[in-house]
Order: sequence, then C-alpha cells, then structure tokens
Amino acid sequence: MSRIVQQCRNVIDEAEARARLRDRLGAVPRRLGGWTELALAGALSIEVPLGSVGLILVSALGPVNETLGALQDVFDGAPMMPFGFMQSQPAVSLSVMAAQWPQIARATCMLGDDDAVRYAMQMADAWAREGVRYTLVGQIDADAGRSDWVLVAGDEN
Amino acid sequence: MRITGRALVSAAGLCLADAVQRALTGEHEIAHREGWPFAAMPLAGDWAARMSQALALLSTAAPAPAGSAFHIGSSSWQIGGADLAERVGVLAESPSRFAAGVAKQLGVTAPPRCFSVACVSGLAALDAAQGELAANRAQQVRVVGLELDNAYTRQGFAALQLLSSSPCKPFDLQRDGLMLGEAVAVLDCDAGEGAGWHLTGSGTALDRSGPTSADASGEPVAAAIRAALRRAGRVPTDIGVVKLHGAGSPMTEPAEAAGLRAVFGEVPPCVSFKSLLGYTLGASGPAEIALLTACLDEGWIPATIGFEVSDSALGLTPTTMKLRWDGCPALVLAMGFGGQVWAGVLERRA
Repeated sequence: MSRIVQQCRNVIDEAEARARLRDRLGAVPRRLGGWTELALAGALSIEVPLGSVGLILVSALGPVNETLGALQDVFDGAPMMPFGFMQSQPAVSLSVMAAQWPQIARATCMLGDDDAVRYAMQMADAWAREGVRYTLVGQIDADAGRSDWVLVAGDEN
Repeated sequence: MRITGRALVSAAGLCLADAVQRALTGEHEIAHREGWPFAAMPLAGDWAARMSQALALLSTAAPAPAGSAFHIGSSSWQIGGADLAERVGVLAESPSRFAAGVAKQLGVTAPPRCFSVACVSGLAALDAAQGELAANRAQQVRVVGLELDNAYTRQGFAALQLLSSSPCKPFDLQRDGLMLGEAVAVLDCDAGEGAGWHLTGSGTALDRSGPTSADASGEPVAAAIRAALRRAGRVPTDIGVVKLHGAGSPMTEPAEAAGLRAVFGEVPPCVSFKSLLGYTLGASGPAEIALLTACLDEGWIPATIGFEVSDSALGLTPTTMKLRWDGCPALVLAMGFGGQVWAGVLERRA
C-alpha cells in the first residue's frame, strides 16, 4: 500500500498563489488560469524527488471557474478566446506542471472528492509496478483556495 | 486484462454491428454544426434526450456484469446540459454526480471513477481499470467513454484553429484539421485469462513540446509504443495492425508517423477511424477499441475513409482498401491535449 512521504496543506488566495509562483519561479507563467496557478503554487511546497514521478490531480469540479468564464462568452455570442478554452482543460494544467518537473513521467486528472484521492493513492501503487516510484497527488478546490498535496511512495508489490 | 463486453453508439450507427458494417463498406454521413463538418449520432432531440437514448441503447446492447466497478472518461461531462438551457448552473453539479447518473442508467451502482484528460480520458479510465483488476480490487470494471456534441467544445476547438472546414482526411496530403464527433462507448473488462480480446500491455508518454503541439521527432510516440510492447512481451514484428490516432491534423501526424517509423521501420497496415466516427475526444479510446476489435473479429482491417493522396513527408500510408486480418496483435495509438500519448497492445486469444 502506498506510503505518504511528504504532505502539505495550503489554503491560498489568488494573490498569494501568484506571489508564490513569482517567488519560486521568478515570474508568474502567463495565461495559466487561476485553477492551474493554485495547483502549481501548492505543489511547489513539495520537494519532488529525482527519478520517475507520477502526477495525479484530483478536484471535485475541476477548473469550473475558467469553464464558466469561457462558457459565458458562448452564451453572449462573443467568440471564445483560445486561452479561455485552454484554461478549462485539466490536461493542459497537467502539461504546465510537468514542464516544471522533468521527472514527471505520467500524469492524469480525476474529478472527484476525498474518495477519489484515496483511489489516486491506489493508482500510485499500480504506477509503481510500472516503474513510477513516487507520485504527486494534489487535491484542488478553487472556491476554497485549497491546494493540498502529498507525495506518495507507491507499493510495487 | 480481458475485454468481456463492448458496445458503441456513434455517428456510424446505433450499435456496434452497424459501425462495423460502415467501417467495412466505407458508407458514412457527415453532418454540420455551425458550418463545421461533424460526425453526429443519428439520434433526435436535445442534448439530454440524445444522451438518454444513447445510454438506453448501450444498456440493452451490453447489460452490466454484476458487481462491476465503474470508470468513465470524458472531456465535456455535463457541459452540453449547460448549452441546452443556456444557463451555467448545471456546472455546479459535480461531474462525479453526473457520472453516477450515467452509471445508474448503464446498470452500475458502484461509485464512478471520473477521468478528465482531454482526448485520452477514456484510455486513462481503461488504464486505471487495468491496475484495479491486477491488484484484485475489482472483479469486473465497466469502462465508459462519453462525449456528446456541445457548442462549448466546438467553439473552443474553433478558437484554437484546430478544425477543418472539410471532412477528416487522416494522413492525406490535403489534411487540414480535425472533424469533431460524438460517441458513447462501453468496454467491460475483467482479469480473466480465457478466450477473447486482451489488453496485454499499455504505455504512456508525455510530449513536452507544448500543450497543443506535438514533438515532430516522434520520440514521445515511440516511447509510449515501446513501453506498451515491452509490457505486452511483444516485439514490433509481432504487430499485425495499427489503429492510428489519425486525426487529420497537420500538427500531430508528423509526430505520429515519425514515432511509428522509429519503432517499426516498415509500419504494419494502419487504419484511422476518425473520418468515420469523428474525433470523439474523451470517448475516442474506448469507441475506437470497440470498433477495431469488432472489425478484426469479422476478419478485416478496414480502409481509412477520407484518405486519398499520400504525403511523402510522413512516410506512412494508411489502408486504402480493407485487408484480411492475419490474427496478429493490434497496436492502438492515441494522443491528446497536454502532450498525452497512449499506446496499447490488444491480442485476441482463442
């Protein structure tokens, strides 16, 4: 069974998330969208080990605020902005995060609550059997400013 | 992991048998949405009515095995419901609650595991099923890929200038973009070793060239294929057919072709279904696996609809006529937003 080796809980507002990104990365990467900024700012609290690492984002609603913003454009008859659509795609968030850590070898996003987090820990075991020793699991709730992260060592057996 | 059941509702018909017939005869119809070609399911009514009809058809075609776990992949979830009412409140309902409703309509009471990884969502769900079955945490898993037409997704892809104004032309010299489509597909899986189709190995890779671009060297594609072959205990010469990603994209197909050439040298017969089914995004993995395996069960590798003229720069030509399948393993390839690359080896055991 997977074992937690690092853990951090973060409740951060948009300004603090951006401040953390500026502090750690030298600048706030452009056009990420609030949900990805929150996820990345929280994940930076974890010391990601070398070797093959997995990434699982878990969120009940995902980047819902970004989706709402882009959807409103559709309803208003305005052309949708490409970056608005991109910011509503969790797969793009995964790629942004993978760009920060070259050791991230595989990544996925689950939409769900605490039960999905427990399931993600089980997935870390399956990934460990395929050579991904550590997996970063983040639980993101934009409305609550929550970006909680654990680094788990998967059980290969 | 064995595939014990499969069903598909798509632009190619309301059942898998219809889709196989169309794949093998080349008959297909293209609809239009807001001026864009679109592969639409032949169902009437609004988003909710069509969803309900599709799920009822699937439930009849493939009754859920008792005690199944439920994994679902989608990129749009209930967004079509927001389009329908021109209101956004529907998004306040969590995708997992929406998915629980889908599970119930498909005869499953287990809590849904919801995967949202753009165009490989359904395959992420399948991968997780493989892990769950291997760890003996489930005896059966029902894997669903679901994607229905909605203005949000269409306009998003249009905004990114990824859509073609003409029907999909996979690997064709004149290819100029994607043709979206809609489908709902079911794959029932268990850990049995008996007769039937087995996913004997899968591999993933991350293409880091950018969220919507693809590494033209093909390295990530080759890495995913090699991982899948290694886990399946296979070598490239074992593979008898490749189900391409084949989206008709000028951007991804050079990467796909380069990756396949790097692994195979001479690439086995390869087919794309996106000109028949459309690009069904999160549903495309389960939908195309269902169709591929059903066509091979009939003994045929279909022709690739929409392909006419080879692009010498790609060095890869998909099937131009249906070919007899020799029973050798199949490789399935898929790519998605965010640099996701997935490959899997499917083998039919007697």
